[in-house]
Amino acid sequence: MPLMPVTRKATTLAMTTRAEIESYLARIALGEREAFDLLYAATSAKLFGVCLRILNDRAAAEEALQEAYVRIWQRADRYRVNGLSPMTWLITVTRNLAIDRLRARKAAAGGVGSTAGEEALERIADSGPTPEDAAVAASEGEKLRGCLRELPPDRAEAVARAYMMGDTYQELATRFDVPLNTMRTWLRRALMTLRECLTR
Amino acid sequence: MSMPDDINGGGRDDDRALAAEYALGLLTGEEAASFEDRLARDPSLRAYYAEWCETFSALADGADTEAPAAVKSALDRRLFGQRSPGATLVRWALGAVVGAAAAGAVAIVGVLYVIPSLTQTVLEARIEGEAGVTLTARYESADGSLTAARLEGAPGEGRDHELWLILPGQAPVSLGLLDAEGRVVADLSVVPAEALTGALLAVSDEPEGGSTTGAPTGDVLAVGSLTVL
Repeated sequence: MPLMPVTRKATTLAMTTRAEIESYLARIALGEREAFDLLYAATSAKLFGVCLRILNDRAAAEEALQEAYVRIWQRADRYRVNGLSPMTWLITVTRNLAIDRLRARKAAAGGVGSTAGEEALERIADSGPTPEDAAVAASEGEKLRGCLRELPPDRAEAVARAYMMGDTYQELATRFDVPLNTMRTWLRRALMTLRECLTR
Repeated sequence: MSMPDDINGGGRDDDRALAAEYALGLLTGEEAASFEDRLARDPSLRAYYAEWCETFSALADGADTEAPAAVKSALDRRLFGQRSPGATLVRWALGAVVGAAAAGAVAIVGVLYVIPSLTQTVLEARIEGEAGVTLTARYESADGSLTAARLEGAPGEGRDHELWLILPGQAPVSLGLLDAEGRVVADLSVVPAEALTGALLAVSDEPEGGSTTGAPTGDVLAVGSLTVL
């Protein structure tokens, strides 16, 4: 019988276990508002950080964050479908919504030339964890950053631009001045090299 | 693993790369749709996709920033409107019975449970534990009320006792604080008597005014289950 959460006293993410986030999501799927409040308290700082990194604009990031939690409220029952861990699912939902907004902004600003999100990209390239990095996130982030550094710099930049700025193959091909098919071959190879580095 | 020179040749590496492209949003609409089709059917493809999501999420992670309180209030207005706090229990109770049900299913449940309610159910529980706190509780389906009364073990200075209902597989839901006389009366008329049979009641030690998190925060002092009288 689940008397599990009886000793929980704090709601910061660092003190919230994966099992607790899973249980919040399960309760949210049943429409339980308290669980939604608890999830928000535990995860909104992290997800707001994601929105800020991608959009680099507070007002836009606040809108994206709101959008993300609406989506989370509506789709909590489906988070298990693709086998993501609960935190990764939350980050992925948020990232995808923020990228949609960024792409809309780019389109409105007239396409490829936009510098939106450049700063976010620089922050990924930064070596070393920030003080606020949680221990686990920092070690995973560090490993990824380390593996990105092993790639030729332009390939690493292409991967980062695709994830953090939503660049399309066409935009990447234009930026790096190569044919689209070449760009695709490049990036796919870079991704597989990245994976090889991460799994060794 | 060797370098995947044959990216168009199919196979595992090709699928891995495809999953990465999908996770990055690099596929065209048509490609993405056909990938999603396969994703629904192919567990190994889902595993590749999940792996990439885990990897990429580390790129976005690591700059936690407190969001302004206005975001949460706007969100609450948007999702919940002006709903009163009591309505949450109604929603939860219905959810517990029918899952994330469509309105139609709720109506059916309403019909199903009107009929059995003609025969009255009385459930009782003795709630006790090693902490020396003991209560009795009684539920009557006639009016859906649950009354609990403390027999022994008052809370400490600046502390309150809070009563919780736990249905199988569900998180605890607060039924309220025990008052100065050690009593609490809760309205469970939205929960079918059948769902309550065997349900657990628990008392937790909380700061004065009760838990603010929606879940028990202090020690569980006493536990008991509702059984047919």
